[in-house]
Amino acid sequence: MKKVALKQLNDAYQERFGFAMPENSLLSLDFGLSAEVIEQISSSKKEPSWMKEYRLSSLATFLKIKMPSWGPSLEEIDFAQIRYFIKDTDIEKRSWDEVPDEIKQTFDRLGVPQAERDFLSGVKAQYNSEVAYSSLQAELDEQGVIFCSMEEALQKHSELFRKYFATLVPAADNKFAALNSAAWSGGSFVYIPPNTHVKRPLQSYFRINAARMGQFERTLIIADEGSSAHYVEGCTAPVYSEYSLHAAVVEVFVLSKARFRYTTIQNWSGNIYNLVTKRAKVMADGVMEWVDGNLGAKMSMEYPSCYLVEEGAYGEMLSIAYAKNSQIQDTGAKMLHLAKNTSSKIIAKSVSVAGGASNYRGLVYIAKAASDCKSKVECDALILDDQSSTSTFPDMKISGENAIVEHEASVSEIEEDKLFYLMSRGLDKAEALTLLVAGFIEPIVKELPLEYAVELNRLIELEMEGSVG
Amino acid sequence: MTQALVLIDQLGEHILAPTQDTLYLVLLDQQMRQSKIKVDLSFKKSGVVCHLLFIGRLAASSSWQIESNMRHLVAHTSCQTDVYLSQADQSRVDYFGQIYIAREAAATKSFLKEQSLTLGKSTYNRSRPILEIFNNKVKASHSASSSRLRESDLFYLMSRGFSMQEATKILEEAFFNQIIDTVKSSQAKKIIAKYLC
Repeated sequence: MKKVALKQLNDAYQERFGFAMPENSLLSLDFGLSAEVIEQISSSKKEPSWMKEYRLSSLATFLKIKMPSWGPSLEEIDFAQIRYFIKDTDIEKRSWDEVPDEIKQTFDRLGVPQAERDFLSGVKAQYNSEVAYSSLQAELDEQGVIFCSMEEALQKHSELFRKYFATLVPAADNKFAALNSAAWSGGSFVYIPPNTHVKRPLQSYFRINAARMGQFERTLIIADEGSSAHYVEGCTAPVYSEYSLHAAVVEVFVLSKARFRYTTIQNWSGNIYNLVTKRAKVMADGVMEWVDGNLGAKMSMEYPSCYLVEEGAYGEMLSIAYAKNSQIQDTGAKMLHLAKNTSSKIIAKSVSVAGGASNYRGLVYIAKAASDCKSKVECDALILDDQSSTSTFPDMKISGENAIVEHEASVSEIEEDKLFYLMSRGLDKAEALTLLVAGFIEPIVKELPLEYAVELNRLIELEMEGSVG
Repeated sequence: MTQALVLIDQLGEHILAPTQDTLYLVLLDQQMRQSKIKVDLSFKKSGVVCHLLFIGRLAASSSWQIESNMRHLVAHTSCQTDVYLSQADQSRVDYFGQIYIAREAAATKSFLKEQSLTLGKSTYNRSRPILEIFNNKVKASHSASSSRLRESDLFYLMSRGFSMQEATKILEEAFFNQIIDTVKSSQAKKIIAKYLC
């Protein structure tokens, strides 16, 4: 039953995103993780010794930490049967003409160069383990904005890199953070100088091309005082019968009075385990907004968090999870109020259809020293048939004086009278359902830039096709 | 059908399977310093409608663990769970409230509301309202909120001559009256009123 459902999911995905290119890598390490593999990754990147040592100590931590005892089952993952590093290009290119043909064709088919021309400030395209292409508008470069791969940042901006790297998500945070810390490769480094406002989004596109591969990109973002920017990431992969693993770590530092928005449109194929640790540290009067669209993957476990560490900091999470055909979307958010007068908001919406399971897992924590804090959480779930399920697991821990915390969650099906109304106006059942689902997620979609909102609605339409029996 | 009234005033675990419409009234002992109570309702008979109501004035420095589990195992059952607590200085409460609706339990309605009013300083409130839903023909929701008395309300009453203590007591009464007004059983209302005196 599950295999049939997975096949349906992959068939729908195959044509647009699920194509694969022949493997033509410069270096592909053997399956399994060991100190030798870590040393090979490090030497291939010509890293300083401190990073190599950090990787090796993270490997020791990874081997010590047990798999999570909560949440969906991760039993299938066999760390010995994964390739941890595939190098497809020698250096990251600044022009699409220089990018190897098969990589360029991949990103052409996904529409990345077109998007870059039309509405982006900068693009980073990661293929398997490393960034293959990178660009940034010249005027932003002149203003001191840095948008490069993590490898380049480690070499060229080592002081800034070392000041922030792994200070928010240490290797010992969880098993997959430790794995990422040991085997990280690729990802984006973003630095926005004080009082600089990047008007158009910066985008990274992550692509896994190989089967039984692990992508462990690491993203480090620093929005300096009074700055603002919007970063968008998208992810797809070919459809294989064997699973692959995506275990990323994202660290965002929002300094005083800065504003940063991090948008993810996760559309991995149905054979990917997506296990991501995302965390932001927000300083005085800073604003951090996570916008998360989880549509793909076999299983997603992702709980972006905000550490509100200085007075006036604000954290927000807007999330959509769409679970179809035995997919498990285990998503949520964590807001930690560690200073007074901090506030947060979480709005999570999920749709479960054709045997999909969506879970909301969240935490609101208000420390004893954090007086006068406010937090509001809203979770709404739609279940479209009797094969699907939904759960919410919120946790609120409140010690601070004068805290106001509200949490609401509701579960419902599509209302028959709304469906009837639309069908009486000439729509068939599938069209009417799609329209109602689009209306349900609209409060979050409207927060996306127009191009992404259109794309997300199209993805939902694609997902809804064939979901009505 | 008339609603039966079951008063739960003993601590510990109460594992119940209602067979008729029932109001379960749980009054938390105001003298206890540290305590634990758990109420499990398993709905195995179709058509049963229940109301589970926890009311607690948590004394200063008291510590409570409260758990409610609503398990809807057959179709056409309903439950409303309400948890109303006021917390004095240094009181601690850890609430876990689950609504589980099985795949077979179509046409279930189950709602949970937890409200905590902080009256004192250095309180701790942990709340975990859980929904686990395996059927689409259901209505289920939960809400939880924790807040202090509003300064403006206190100020208004004190400007009319009430002392701080009197104003606080009036506002605490108003907080509990919200839920007492929804209780149909006059016997239950009397019991609650006596508890709150």
